[in-house]
Amino acid sequence: MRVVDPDTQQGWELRLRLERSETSGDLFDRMALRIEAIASSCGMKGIFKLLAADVYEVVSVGKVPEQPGQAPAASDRRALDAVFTMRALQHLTERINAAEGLEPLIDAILAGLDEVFGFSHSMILLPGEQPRTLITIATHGYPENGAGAEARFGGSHHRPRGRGAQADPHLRPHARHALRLRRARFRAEEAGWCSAERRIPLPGLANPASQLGVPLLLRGDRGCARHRERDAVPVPRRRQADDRAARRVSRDGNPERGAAGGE
Amino acid sequence: MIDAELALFLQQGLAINIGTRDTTLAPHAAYAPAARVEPDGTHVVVYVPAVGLMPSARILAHNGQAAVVFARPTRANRACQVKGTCVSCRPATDDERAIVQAQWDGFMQQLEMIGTPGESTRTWITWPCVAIRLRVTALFNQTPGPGAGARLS
Repeated sequence: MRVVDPDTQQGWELRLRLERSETSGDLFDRMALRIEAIASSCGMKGIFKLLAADVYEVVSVGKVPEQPGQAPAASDRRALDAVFTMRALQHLTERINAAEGLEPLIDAILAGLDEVFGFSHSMILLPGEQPRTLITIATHGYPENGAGAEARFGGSHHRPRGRGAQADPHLRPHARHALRLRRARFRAEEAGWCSAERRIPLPGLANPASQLGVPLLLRGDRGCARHRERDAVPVPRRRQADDRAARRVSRDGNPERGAAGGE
Repeated sequence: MIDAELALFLQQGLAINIGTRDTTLAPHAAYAPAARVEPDGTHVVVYVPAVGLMPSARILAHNGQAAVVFARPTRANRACQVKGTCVSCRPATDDERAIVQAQWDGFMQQLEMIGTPGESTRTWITWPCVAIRLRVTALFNQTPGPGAGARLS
């Protein structure tokens, strides 16, 4: 099999050996679902049917001599604004370590994800008191804070309104406030002050290019989740110089001029 | 052979790939950012990035046989295959660059619609190109479905 890097036109030849052909199971189901999704987006729903998923062992990979390609022009490389490098992780860690208190810590995490990795919209949710529910404790990037908003596993989002939120629209979103809002909501519903049908939209972009939900573990339990959205998908490129500098530091133990640890 | 409606389809900015085969029947392919149908409908000029053309150029010089697939990623995935014989290969001129860029931009817009953002395709090489002129010998419908593979008049 030959593939060509569209950025450089470098040709690559892969020599493969058929290992097996799957007609059911996880791999087959994932591929079938993806094909159906692509077909739907092209207006061809129901036309394509996956017959089998063939799995090959890659025996060798090599460059195609006839297709040496070329390096992309320097002007083609846009300035990288969001990169996933060791330096970026270090920057985020520094911000987190500088936080003094729970509220600044949560703010630092969400603001850091935006400034360092380009995740412009994000929120943190904790397990709610009801089974299979999550409560929003902090958001970033959205015009509405969404504190106390509820999400359910595998279902549509519920957005309760509590008297606490109504009483203080400027309430800063963090764990204690969100939990107080939730308790206020239940007390309000029990007292008949507001109905469960009254809803505030859960913060979210109208048309996100990507969404990512990350389950987090707290002391070994799946305690919370982090949800991130972007208007645009980041280019998956790496700033090689940053990571090379980080590796130099780790090998020598001494930071060099321009290396991540020396700045 | 190519009527006005088909010519319009082929030149709107599509996923275009030109395929060739050598004496051992080993296939080679290259993507083309644009194509142009000549007014008489009997010839098609396919623009292929020069840097990636070498295997196909060698083959075309030897046997001249090529098949070009045009596919639209959106709106029912309409597709067509044009088979032909290479008449000439020459560097594309600066005057033709606008044609190439316009069709490429159109293709990029379609990719955006199905979830491939321009940020990830912006650095794909599209110029300079080699203009491969083919004399059309056969046309086939390649739109997925019961009619796929049918010869077009």
